[in-house]
Amino acid sequence: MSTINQISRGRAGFLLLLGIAFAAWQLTEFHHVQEKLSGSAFSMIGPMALTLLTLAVVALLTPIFARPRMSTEDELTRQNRRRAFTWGYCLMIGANLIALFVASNTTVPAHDLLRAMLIVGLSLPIIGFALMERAVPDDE
Amino acid sequence: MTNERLHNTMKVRRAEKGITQAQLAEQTGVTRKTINSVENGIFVPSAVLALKIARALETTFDTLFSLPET
Repeated sequence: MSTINQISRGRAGFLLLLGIAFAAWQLTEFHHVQEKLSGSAFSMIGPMALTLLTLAVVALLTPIFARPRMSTEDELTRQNRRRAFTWGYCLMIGANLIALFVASNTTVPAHDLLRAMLIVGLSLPIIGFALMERAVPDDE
Repeated sequence: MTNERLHNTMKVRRAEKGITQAQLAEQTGVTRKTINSVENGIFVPSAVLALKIARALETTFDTLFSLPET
């Protein structure tokens, strides 16, 4: 496997883990989930997920700079990134509308709603991008 | 993002030359996934990449790529 293929797949796997870690972290912040977990679990998950998220954002944005972009990605990766950002944008708007509806009709805390929007608008696009990057059919 | 399609004869030409997608990807400096996507008509390459592919397969752009009949 060539270097560019290795880097592409490696980074996609990395992003997949980070997206899931962030979603898991945010999910543990919901009241219902918190009631089922012990305090020690939170103290481990939170900082780990925050570190992973920071790395994920760096990994996602690094190719904006020309040199890394030339060495780590190609046209399809750029298209996948655009698609992920577009879907993230649409998902965030959708989540906003749902949050507005829910907030208008129930007494769900605002921070829970915002957290759900973060999961939808940030984690899902990262995971989606990673899955698109890792989907490689067999050589024909 | 565009929905336009671009027909190609990459698979045939690649078979004639006896090279794999991975080898073609190596020669053109992209991932094998990109070559696979172009070959299957999922991804429309830029003019630069299309010309690189044509050069690697020792053929011309318009032999390799064509617009679908409407």
